Amino acid sequence: CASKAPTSGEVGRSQGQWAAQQQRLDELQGWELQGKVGLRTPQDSISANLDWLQTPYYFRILLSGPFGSGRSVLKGREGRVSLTTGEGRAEAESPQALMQQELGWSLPISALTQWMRGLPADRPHEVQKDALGFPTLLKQDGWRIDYRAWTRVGELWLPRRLKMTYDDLDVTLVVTRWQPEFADDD
Amino acid sequence: NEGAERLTRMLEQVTTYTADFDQKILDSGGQRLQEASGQMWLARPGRFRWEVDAPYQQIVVSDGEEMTLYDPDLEQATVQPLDERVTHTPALLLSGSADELTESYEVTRSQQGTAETFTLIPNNPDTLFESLKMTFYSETLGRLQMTDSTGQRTAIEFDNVEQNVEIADSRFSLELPEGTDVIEQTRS
Repeated sequence: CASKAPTSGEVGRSQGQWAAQQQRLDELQGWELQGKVGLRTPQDSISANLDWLQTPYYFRILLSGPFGSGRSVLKGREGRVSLTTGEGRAEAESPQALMQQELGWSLPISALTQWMRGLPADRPHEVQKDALGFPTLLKQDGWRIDYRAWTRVGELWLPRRLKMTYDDLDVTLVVTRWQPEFADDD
Repeated sequence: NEGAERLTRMLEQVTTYTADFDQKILDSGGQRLQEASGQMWLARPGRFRWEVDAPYQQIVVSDGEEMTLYDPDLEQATVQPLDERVTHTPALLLSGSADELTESYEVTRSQQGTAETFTLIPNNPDTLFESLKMTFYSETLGRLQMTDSTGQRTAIEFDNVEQNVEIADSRFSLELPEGTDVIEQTRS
């Protein structure tokens, strides 16, 4: 009888892969990712394109609407961050303070560099895992992060869809393209 | 003035406009921050569809009364009335009435070979951009470039342009899938 070739399509996640990739995940020191941010507060709702460049010394996050409208570029490094919008440029020490001041809402950018990889920041937290050992829920800093979908990038599983809530702020983060950078990449 | 009249005349000849677009967002230093491509349909007055298909998906549709932004990744659609501020987005600008355009902008014209460029400076400071350049190649719109007050630019190139060709009404309406989170926004 015809032997059934393994389908090359999306191979599902399997037991233990999350634990096995922890070391590799730590070597993930930077990335370029494209995706979407949906944000809802009782007063407002925003949906924007997300372009995030992360390196060990520098980050740049672009939020933009259709036709490049409503463009905001948040960039800098620990201690010195700038936010450029259509109206002007502002600087501050932390990305969160700057976003809150300029945009009226903010995302915990520093913690997000861990949460985006499915990892908690180095502070008290609570993690729930699914049957395969992958995180499904992370609670930290008053945020609740639900990992709704994963995607295979090279030999790593990385989150594709995150639902984050904090009080009455509801954020959806969808990554449409991950391009990881590893410590040993030349 | 002469530039405004010329632009008005050229825009008024266009009842529908269809094209593939390639959009680049550049920082003030000219570095490319984002690129996206897709298709645009436009029917004057006020109707258009802006469909991004790479590297992400997003659809903006206006039926002349309201504008819907649908994001399939977010499973979310925001619907807002076509109001003053929104009408300064490029697609709506093109589908607006020609004299309305030339009333709200200072228009100057320049020519290099077959490329005729109109530079529009908005009279209303509350506009999304500080200047808009529209470049026509043998009287067909080929390029748009918006610059904001910090020098960030959005450059849109149009290709495979078809003008005054019949466009089905259904193009300017949007069937949202089951379960889409629809958000009615009163102000933009």
